[in-house]
Amino acid sequence: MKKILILFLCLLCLTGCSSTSSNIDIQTLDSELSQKITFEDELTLYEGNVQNLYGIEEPKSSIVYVGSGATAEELAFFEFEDTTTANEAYEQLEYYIKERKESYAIYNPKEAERLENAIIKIKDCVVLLCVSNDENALEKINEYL
Amino acid sequence: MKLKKSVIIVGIVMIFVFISGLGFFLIQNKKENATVVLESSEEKEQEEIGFDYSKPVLECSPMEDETYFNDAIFIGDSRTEGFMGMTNLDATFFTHIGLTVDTFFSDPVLYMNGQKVSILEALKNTNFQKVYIMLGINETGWKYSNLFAQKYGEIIDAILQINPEAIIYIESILPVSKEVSDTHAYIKQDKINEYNSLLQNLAMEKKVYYLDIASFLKNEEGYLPVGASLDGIHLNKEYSLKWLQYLKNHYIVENTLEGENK
Repeated sequence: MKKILILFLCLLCLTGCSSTSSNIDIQTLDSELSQKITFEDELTLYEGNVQNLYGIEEPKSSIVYVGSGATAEELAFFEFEDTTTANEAYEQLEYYIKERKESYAIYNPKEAERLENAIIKIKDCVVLLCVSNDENALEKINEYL
Repeated sequence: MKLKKSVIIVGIVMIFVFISGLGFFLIQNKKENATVVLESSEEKEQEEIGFDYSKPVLECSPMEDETYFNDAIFIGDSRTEGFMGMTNLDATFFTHIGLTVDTFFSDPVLYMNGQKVSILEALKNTNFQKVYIMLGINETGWKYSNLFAQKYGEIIDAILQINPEAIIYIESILPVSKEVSDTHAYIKQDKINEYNSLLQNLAMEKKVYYLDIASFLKNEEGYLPVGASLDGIHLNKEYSLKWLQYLKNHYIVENTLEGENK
């Protein structure tokens, strides 16, 4: 009985996420990476509905920067309630980028090429999406994720 | 005797003059009444028309805030998508890269309740009172301009079928930079100007409102100014906010004189 209880508690710890256990804070990620990663377009903080924008479940919190449309660049940080939802969002973002590539391939092939280097990273309940002009973006992101 | 005769003659003449004068007065009065009636009918007809759809919405007193857009849907391509991001306007945006008057009906480009749907399907499942449409730049490579206008008209018909009371704004296609116009394979400012004329006619035909944002944004040569955009097509934040300001100064509120252009 004791062993079952201990096992159950361990499983609970694995599926949930708290800021103390993951040690990843999207505000910190944002303050570091949004300044370090370079973009060709002017990105603006987006305050609209990210679920509809990306087709993901509503995140626990998010910080999203979008461009003017002149390029495919964007930067987004999401924190989800649990790793399952985070993983689903990761897959959906891969699909989102694939669709963007197909759209841009017709109207702006240069941006379709840029999307080939889109970065989607996941750690615990945090997911990051970055499409930029910065060839060192992945290296910079890897310092934190 | 002679005197009596003279009096009678004068009397007859006076009566004749009186009758003539009376008759003249009566005829004049009838004409004036008829004119008054006609003017009242004309005014009534004008009131029934309410708006000269052949002309753009005129500038009016600016909106006090942006709540006017809360029940509005913005339909457009990547330029409207950029506008959405740059302005963070609290409205509904149905946009997609490369959206055209064709794919509005056919392509599932929007996420709604976890499913991908077309813009038309999304409209059917959304409450709205106003619609702003900006389409056309991706169609400037089309061979037949009237086909563009026809398809655009079908979009308006579809929207009115969903909500016959909706206030529909056709936004003029924004200008592009001279560089884009000179070098792009198919996006040319002349073509945009031609399409905008067609759209203004369409607004008149369909009795919807035309917003001449293009005239407001373009420079003296008729192009998007240098510094308005990174690529000469998509407006940067400064110019997106100018676009928004134009919308806040040119709008219709039913049953008021706001935006009236009689």
